[in-house]
Amino acid sequence: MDEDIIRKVIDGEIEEFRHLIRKYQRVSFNLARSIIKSDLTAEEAVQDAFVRAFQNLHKFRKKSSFSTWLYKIVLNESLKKINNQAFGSKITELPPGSAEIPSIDPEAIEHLHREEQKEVINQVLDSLKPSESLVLKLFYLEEKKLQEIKEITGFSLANIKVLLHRARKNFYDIYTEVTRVKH
Amino acid sequence: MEKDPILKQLIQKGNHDIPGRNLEDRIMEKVDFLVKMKQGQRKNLRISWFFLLFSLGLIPVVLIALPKTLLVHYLTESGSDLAGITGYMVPAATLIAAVLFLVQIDNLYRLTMRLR
Repeated sequence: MDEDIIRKVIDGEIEEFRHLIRKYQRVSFNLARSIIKSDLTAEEAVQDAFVRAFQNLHKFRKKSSFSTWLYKIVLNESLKKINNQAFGSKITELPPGSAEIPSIDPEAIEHLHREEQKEVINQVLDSLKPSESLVLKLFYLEEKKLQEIKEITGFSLANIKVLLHRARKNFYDIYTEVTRVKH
Repeated sequence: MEKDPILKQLIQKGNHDIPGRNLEDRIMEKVDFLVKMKQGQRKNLRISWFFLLFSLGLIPVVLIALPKTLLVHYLTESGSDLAGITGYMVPAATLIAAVLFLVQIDNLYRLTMRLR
């Protein structure tokens, strides 16, 4: 379906591009928001990414899905906004003994209103490192495969696994802390 | 790699909302602006190509026939060495004009490729 829209846009039906924006803007914004901790700047990055995608649509080779190609642009535009501040640098193995994922109570925030639950989870995600938050969202929110995450981020598969493990552990640690305060 | 169902459930609850005015419309405004700008550039490019090719067509007249006629007239009147002066002036003028045309063609070609 994306391919049909892309073909139409390339053939001059510019208004069709709106469908791609509508479909991917939310996830794109969430990915940009992992890197940039400001709504306004993340929004600018998403705008720039879509405009760049539009300009380069004829270069999209269909080797990967359109979303993978677009998210790579979103990531690049987001990194430009933060001047590549050490994104993904020094991904090292977890120290021995710290690899255990703590158990959490997923119901701990059930008593909160929907908006409050969202706020808590976003607070936890914002506390993570940009690279950790990004891979978590790609893996769990967008349900991307490891290979696709590799294409988007440029990290090796081993690094992605380490990042996912660490992100999961840190998420649970911070979540436990935040929900304890909320109780 | 296995997905953690609890984490998945939690992360899906925490989707950030896009703040502010409609992002979709703002992106489309930018895209429309880009398209209009490109169309304007293409129009200007076509005009530039037309004038360049038109000027190229005039080369034989402007560079060879006209200066030579004027020079012959002027030099005959002033009694100068006709063969000596036309022998280097006309080829030099032709060379300069040819270089200028080639530079222009190169610039226009690059611009055309960029706007394709």
